[in-house]
Amino acid sequence: MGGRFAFRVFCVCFLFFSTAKLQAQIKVASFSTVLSEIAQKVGGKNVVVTSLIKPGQDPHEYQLTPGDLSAAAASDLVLLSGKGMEVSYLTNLRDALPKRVQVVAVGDQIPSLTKGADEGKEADKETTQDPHWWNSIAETEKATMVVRDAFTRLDGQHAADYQAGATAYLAVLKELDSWVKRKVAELPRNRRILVTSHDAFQYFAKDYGFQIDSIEGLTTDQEPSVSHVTALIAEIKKQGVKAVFLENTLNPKVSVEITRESGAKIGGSVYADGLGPGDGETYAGMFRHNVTTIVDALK
Amino acid sequence: MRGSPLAQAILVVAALLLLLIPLHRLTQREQRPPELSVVSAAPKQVHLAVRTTAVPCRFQITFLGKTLWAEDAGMPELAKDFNIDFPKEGIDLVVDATWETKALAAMEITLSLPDGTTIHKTLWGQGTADDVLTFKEE
Repeated sequence: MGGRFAFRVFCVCFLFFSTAKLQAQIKVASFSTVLSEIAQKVGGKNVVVTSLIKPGQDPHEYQLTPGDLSAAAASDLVLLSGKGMEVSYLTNLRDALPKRVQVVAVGDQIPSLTKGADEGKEADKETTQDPHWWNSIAETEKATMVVRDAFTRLDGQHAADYQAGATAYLAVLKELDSWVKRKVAELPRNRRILVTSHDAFQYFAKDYGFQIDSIEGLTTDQEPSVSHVTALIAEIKKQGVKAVFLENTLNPKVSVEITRESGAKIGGSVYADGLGPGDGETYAGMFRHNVTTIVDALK
Repeated sequence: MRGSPLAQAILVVAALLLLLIPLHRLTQREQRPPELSVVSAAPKQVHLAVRTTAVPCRFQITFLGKTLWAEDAGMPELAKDFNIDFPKEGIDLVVDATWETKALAAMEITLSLPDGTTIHKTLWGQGTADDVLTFKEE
């Protein structure tokens, strides 16, 4: 009899304390694989992160599902990539979320590279901002601080933990940046021409001295025109570009055709739109894979 | 003269096969990749001068993944000439320096080109310092 009573008390206590622990955690819904990693590293045991965009999924093609909307509505904090990445569903998402849910468009708090104005197109801030900020380690450092601040606003009691998590993650990013600089230095500066499936590497190019020639535009739903592809092939021949790079989430058909016509080779596949299966399961792994693939193919 | 049907069939097949050769040559896709133009810069004589605030100092300068200059410097100023490609986009030198002193020290690297262009870069550290320095004509 006494044993059964003790067991019941234990169960009640266990449920109480485990529920209390869960309630203390910040529930985060992330619409970016990179932000999911940052949130986990900065938040540690004080957060529960649900990644609504999965590794290897093309965020440009993502459609908001009722299930994902429910998950976002049940969270305390929604993290968005920002800079127009979620433009196709942002209004619906904001309208559907309860007022208590905080929404932070992380990229919107980081300075933008823009595209369009320099091509004579009409300026449209929402669509011409380059959303691929995670391809710059410096921008990812800024994103880490934005996430730290968001957690601290929600849960000031654990501010020191969030600061410690951010500091540790920033140290990893610093070491990664140092490695990238050394690896890129193996490639002559006049061979740093990066031809990729879509225009996702402008931030990377700015940091490490590359010129970008992409097949598609800033998003993956823009089909390249014949004149653009013809001009690109001519540019590859003129510059003596050795390799064209595929992307893990895109169809390689046009890239393969371009290599056939230009004489360049396929340099490998890179992660352009965030984390993915294989080497790209972590941010550092993704970046190291991309840099190694690019430098070794263009050498 | 009409011959056997078998012989006629063989002749027709042979004629068709002969026709296939020029047809194939006319219609085949060019398989050989076009010659790529090679982007390279003519090697230039580059003069490098290293000045360090503290000695002894051990340093290594790496260019395109290979050691260009490694030295155990007992003097605060050293200089050397190198024949290397110097494109208009500039060059990156990876510099690793180690000082015996743990106090703050600096290493200045001056790159001079034959046309008189001079570019200075400085590296700071306590005990050690390393960085990738870009030298580019303005």
